[in-house]
Amino acid sequence: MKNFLIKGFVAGAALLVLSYVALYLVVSLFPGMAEQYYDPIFSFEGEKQILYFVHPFVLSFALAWFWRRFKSLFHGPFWWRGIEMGLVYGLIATLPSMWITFSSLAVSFNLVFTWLLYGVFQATVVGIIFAKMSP
Amino acid sequence: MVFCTTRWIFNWLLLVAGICLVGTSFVLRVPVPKKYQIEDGSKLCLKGTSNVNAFACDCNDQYSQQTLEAETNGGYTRFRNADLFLKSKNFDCHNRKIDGDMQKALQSDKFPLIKVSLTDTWQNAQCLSGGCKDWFEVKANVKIKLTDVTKDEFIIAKAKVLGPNKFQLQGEKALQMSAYGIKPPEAMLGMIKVNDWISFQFDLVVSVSEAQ
Repeated sequence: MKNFLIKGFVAGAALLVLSYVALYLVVSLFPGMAEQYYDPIFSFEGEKQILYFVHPFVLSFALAWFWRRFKSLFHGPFWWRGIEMGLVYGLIATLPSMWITFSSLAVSFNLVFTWLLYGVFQATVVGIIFAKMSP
Repeated sequence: MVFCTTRWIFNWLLLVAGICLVGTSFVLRVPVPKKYQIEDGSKLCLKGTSNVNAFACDCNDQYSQQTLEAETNGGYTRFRNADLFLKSKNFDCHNRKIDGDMQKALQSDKFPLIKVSLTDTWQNAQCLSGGCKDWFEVKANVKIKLTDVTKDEFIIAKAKVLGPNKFQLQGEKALQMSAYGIKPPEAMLGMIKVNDWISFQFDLVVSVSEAQ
């Protein structure tokens, strides 16, 4: 249990830093895309703001449980096991949710596609951390 | 001694007469009440930029006829009650998020009106009476009240006589939001920031008539 909590917090902290860096990079490198976030559909204000910062930990603990149950299915060096977990998560979780997001919300394809890539990237980072901490 | 006293009185009279003459040439005429109407089709917009985009907010409003007092002396005119009120809730920035953020920044619930008061202007007197066919420069002092802060601002605009008692006024004025105690809007956890300087642009057609 202790190892589970440590893994979850370490990976969550890493994702939190990455999420802030990603936001910064989007605004700096892709201002046109960042402009799309200046829309009433996105609400980063008030009490809900805390939920954004909690999300990396929600994801890391969910993936910690997944890793504990299915890590035996991933083989090879630690970085490859991490990439594999990222692709599996992208296929079974991110792709369907982004599909329904694009089909039902007024958001551009580019934006949804970046979310798909970012989801895979997040899970890959978490997978690499877990594969190193708990092979 | 008598000669000195007489000369002193003469000089004094000369001085008083001089002051009176100079004074009458500088004393402003009697204020003339006038009615003015900002015609339909006039445009007033607020332009701004953020670190990711530029935006323009139209202020579409119906302006009722107002009465002002003007004292003209050559190319100088002093105004009283020349107030223009803009409803900050009427700003249409073509993006509901920016509309909401601008209204929040301008505290439109608490201060629904932006007040622009024209205090005095300098212009070519000949142009004002229709002697110029083209645009001419108008320098104006205005008081702008945003939220509960009023500041004096200086505007250089251009004007054109469109017809008898009908003018077109065009210009813009950059304002620093923080100087009025307004915090520029932010979005995306502060990553997207509206720049402190915004610009009010106006293109007004104004009809003036004598008040009864």
